[in-house]
Amino acid sequence: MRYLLGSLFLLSCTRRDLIVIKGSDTVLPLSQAFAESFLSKNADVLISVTGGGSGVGIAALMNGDTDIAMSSRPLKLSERLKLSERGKVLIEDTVAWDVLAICVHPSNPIQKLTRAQLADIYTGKVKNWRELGGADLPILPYSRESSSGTFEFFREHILKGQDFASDVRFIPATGMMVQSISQTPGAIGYIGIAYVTPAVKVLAIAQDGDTVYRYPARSRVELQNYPIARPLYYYYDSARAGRVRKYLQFVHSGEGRAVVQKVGYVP
Amino acid sequence: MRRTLGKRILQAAALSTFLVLLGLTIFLFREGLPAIFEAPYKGTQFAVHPENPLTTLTSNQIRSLVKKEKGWINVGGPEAPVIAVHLANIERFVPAGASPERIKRALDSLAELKGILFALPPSFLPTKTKPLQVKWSGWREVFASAQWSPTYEPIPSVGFLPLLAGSLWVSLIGLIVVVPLGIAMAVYVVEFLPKSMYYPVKILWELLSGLPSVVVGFWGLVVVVPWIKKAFGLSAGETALTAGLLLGWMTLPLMASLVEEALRSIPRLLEESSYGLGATQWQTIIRLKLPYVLPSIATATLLSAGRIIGETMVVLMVSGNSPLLPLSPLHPVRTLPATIAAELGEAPVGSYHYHVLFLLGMVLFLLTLGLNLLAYFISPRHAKV
Repeated sequence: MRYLLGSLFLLSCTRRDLIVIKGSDTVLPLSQAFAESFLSKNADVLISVTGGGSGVGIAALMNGDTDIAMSSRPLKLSERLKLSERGKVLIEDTVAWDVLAICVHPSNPIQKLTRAQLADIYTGKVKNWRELGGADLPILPYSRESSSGTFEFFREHILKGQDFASDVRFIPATGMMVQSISQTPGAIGYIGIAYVTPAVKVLAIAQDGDTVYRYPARSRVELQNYPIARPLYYYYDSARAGRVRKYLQFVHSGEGRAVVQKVGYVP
Repeated sequence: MRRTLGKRILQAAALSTFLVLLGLTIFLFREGLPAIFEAPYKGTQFAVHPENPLTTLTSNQIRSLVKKEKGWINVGGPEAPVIAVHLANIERFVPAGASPERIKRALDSLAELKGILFALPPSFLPTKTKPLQVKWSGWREVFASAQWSPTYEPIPSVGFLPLLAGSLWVSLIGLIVVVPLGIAMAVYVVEFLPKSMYYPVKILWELLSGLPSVVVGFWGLVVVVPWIKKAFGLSAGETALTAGLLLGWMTLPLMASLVEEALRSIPRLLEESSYGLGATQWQTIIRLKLPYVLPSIATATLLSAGRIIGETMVVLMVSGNSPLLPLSPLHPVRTLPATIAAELGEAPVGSYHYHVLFLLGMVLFLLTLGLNLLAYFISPRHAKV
């Protein structure tokens, strides 16, 4: 569905360099914003940005169908082995950080959770806020749909690969997640930091083995020990790095960093 | 000459519709059937330690081993803890960024553990392991399992039962809403509504049926969901009931229009005979008109059911989408079309997940076809225009 929404930036087209960017839907809005400001300065370049998912972008890069693969996860082992078979060397470039905030209803007295408690909530081992030191109120976990990269990230890093309990409610979009949490007192959910509004309350989270509970932050230094932040990557072929050098310089310039912040990610 | 050309054009138009439908059906079946006849772990080889006496396990046994619900001893294996290594968790055993040689060494040392269970592509598997056959029964996995977890590694759970049950609950509630209301609306419009009000009312109906379902869904999420939560004292308002109510309401124009048409087709002679025998307006409606249009009501009900069961956006937004087997209409449900809409976007083309979603589409297609055929066979063939 979102593949179709992944927009195509094709301005007029006569003898200009075309940079093709493809991959993760999480990175998609960022790349679109980069492309917009980059194009306003560089009339001699065309940029096409398409979504489809991290795996799609990386596969396209292997086949030479794209210049840059956007990815919300590092290369998988299987992908790296395939690359070494083909003798290709990919360069990994972290363009921004995506930070997830764990949110509850504003009336919920709970302030903080550990990573393990969060996993227990989503796997159905803990069913009432009382068990976590809160009020006597059933817990209603909300999750993104399995098609979202955020879902995969949450399952891998918070649930450590365990399966979601079957009574978890699945929500197709982040905006609707905020709406549902704000009208359900026992609710808990995870959303990108850019979507946090006063209608929900953000919890502090402690990493395994860490005694300090931390709130999601908007700078990279503060993020170091927050357990639910992930880097967003650009991958490109080292043999064709020249084609994208100017664009990447822009991405890492002060202007590019400002774009990151505007889109809602952490530079 | 000109008449035959016109006829040809009409013929071509009719034929093109038929061809599109045929192509769609073939596509649906071609993409859906592999989910039954192929196993989801194509390209993956299961293997264990050479001293492990097991040679075959069922897919269920593998799942409970990986989830650590069972140990090797429970399935007749060695007395050792289960260490499952598959593509989704291999990074926990092999450092990220390792060279191919380093990966091979790490896997080789894992292979020496007595309780090892590999689920990897054959090229990854260490040589000193014993292959393990895994039994997979597509029919049973799909139609007799209550677990829907289609991206779980190494073997997904693809039980349709929670989704089918979800769709049935939503449709049932929708029909309970739409059938009596639709009939009442039609009778009122035909019998009691002043002629001058007819067109304004009709225009409102059309407006209602033309409302984009995403608008209805959002209104449902913001208004009806909190209302249901409060009315039933629930902890969350995203339930089968919420979705059913909204769908029933959305289908109302269709149901009412069909019944209205049937009521208007009652021969004038019959109606006048009834009045002539001294029956009142109510007696005529209840004793003559409603029984007369009963077959049309049945047809309209089935057509409405077809519409409700296929509706996607509203359910996706207000039903909670939890894949649990719903025992009451106050539970959250995940329906067939909502599942397809939510998951197809990121299911890699040609993967098992992709095929199983098309299989869902196939089931939905057959359900709707069944409803329509039923509607056709009980439709009043004696109806006069």
